[in-house]
Amino acid sequence: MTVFQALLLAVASSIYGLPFWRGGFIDQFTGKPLIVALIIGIVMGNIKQAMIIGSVLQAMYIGVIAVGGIQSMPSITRCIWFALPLAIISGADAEFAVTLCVPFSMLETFITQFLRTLNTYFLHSADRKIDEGKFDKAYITYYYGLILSTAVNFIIIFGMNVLGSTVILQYAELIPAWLLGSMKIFTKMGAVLGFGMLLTGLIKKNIQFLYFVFGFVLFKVMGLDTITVTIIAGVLAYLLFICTGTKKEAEHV
Amino acid sequence: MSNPKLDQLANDNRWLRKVLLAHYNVAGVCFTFERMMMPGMANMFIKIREDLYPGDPEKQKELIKNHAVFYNTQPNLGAIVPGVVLGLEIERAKNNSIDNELIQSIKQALAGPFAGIGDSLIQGLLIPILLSIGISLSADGSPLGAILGVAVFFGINIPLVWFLFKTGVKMGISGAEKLMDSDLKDRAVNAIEMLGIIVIGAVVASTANVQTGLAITASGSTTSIQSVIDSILPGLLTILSTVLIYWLIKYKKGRAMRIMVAMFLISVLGYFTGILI
Repeated sequence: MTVFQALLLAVASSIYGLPFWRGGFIDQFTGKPLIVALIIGIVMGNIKQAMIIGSVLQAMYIGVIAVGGIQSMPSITRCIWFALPLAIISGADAEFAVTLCVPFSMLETFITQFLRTLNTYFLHSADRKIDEGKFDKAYITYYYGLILSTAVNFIIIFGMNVLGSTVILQYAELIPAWLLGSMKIFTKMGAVLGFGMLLTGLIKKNIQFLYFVFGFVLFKVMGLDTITVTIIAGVLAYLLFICTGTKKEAEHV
Repeated sequence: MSNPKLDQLANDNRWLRKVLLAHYNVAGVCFTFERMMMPGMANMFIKIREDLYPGDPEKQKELIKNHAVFYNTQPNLGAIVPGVVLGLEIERAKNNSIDNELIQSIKQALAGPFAGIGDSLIQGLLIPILLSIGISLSADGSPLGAILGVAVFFGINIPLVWFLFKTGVKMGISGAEKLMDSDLKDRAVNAIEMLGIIVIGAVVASTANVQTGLAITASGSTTSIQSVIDSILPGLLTILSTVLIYWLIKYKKGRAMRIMVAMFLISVLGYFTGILI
């Protein structure tokens, strides 16, 4: 892969990560492998191959959802930007792209969470600016988080693309199996943290944890899907609303 | 003390669009576990502080600080939340009739359920469907799958988000009067919270899976402890893990980063000992 192509890919991924796509109502879809594959195909000048491999990759990773801020399984959002181009260049197939991704996808979570920890500094800095009344400066401070992660992604994507698949695969051997295995376990627990946090804001009396167990059991034991559970929960909420006539009664449920 | 300018702004689509973008352009740029999407909320009010409290930097600061707190929801369906919050804050700016506590509790009460419902409907249903169709269209190399997927997703979501946001603003403004009747407010918030907790239960059940690999060997036959647990209550370990995280955060000042590191270490331990699989 030429350095120019690697540069182009890194630039494309940075533009693709601009604010309008982030945390907004668009990037949950545009970040998906199938769509990114199209962009990569355009940059590499080989849409056909990109889409063929991209479709397979998407099918493999269709189950990735970010619930409460943590992804449910190791995802390829970052590594697809070098795994797919390198696969195209090598004339290889989706399996090859996955092999390039696997060692990296475990780092992916680390990198994301590490960047988020750094974001905390920006957050507190913005807090201070708000205290001083420098509101517009606070607004800019939030963007440091995006600038940081874009810069990191740029370096990774450029670097990995330049290193090429042979180098990556050599290093992939070094990554211990236990790290991969542990990450698998970790991601299976991910939602527990994200939603555990949400619950601390939602649950006022600990007895309300029973509602959580109720919803959980409806899904796991009764096999109902989440939409059905939502409908049931909606009906119950309505009943609760009309049955608790006053504020005092409402506090006791 | 009413403010005709605010009433006018609340109906001005250009202004509303500016506020919506002020929220979403910033909601994801500085994501932390401490406060997640909060910058979007804060920035919404940074951008319109002069409209709500003209020439009053103290009140403006109070407004923005009030919203510099934890906030997380699903971005598409959850668009109603910044709408409602905006509507409530507009009413509050007009005549100081609602206090901040109420606005914050409504924010949380709405954000929770919409996170759960949004994640299952958008991330769990709409997106996989569009992607599956896209895969079948693009499997032989055509860009059509991706293009169509993006077109449909945008086509559904941009109007949807706009509609939810505007509806939220209207609800916030008109609901504010109804909400002053504190009975109604508490009953409604209570009911919505319960809905949220139930839905979150189902979402956690669908995405998380804490299992143990321990087994007991007795007189030649091995029984896996997980199967025993499953016969009592499937997913019990996941439930207990959630309770543990909740307890740590609520009662032991658990910090998200530390819990995450601990979870990772436990995962490593689990991998080597088979306690967790």
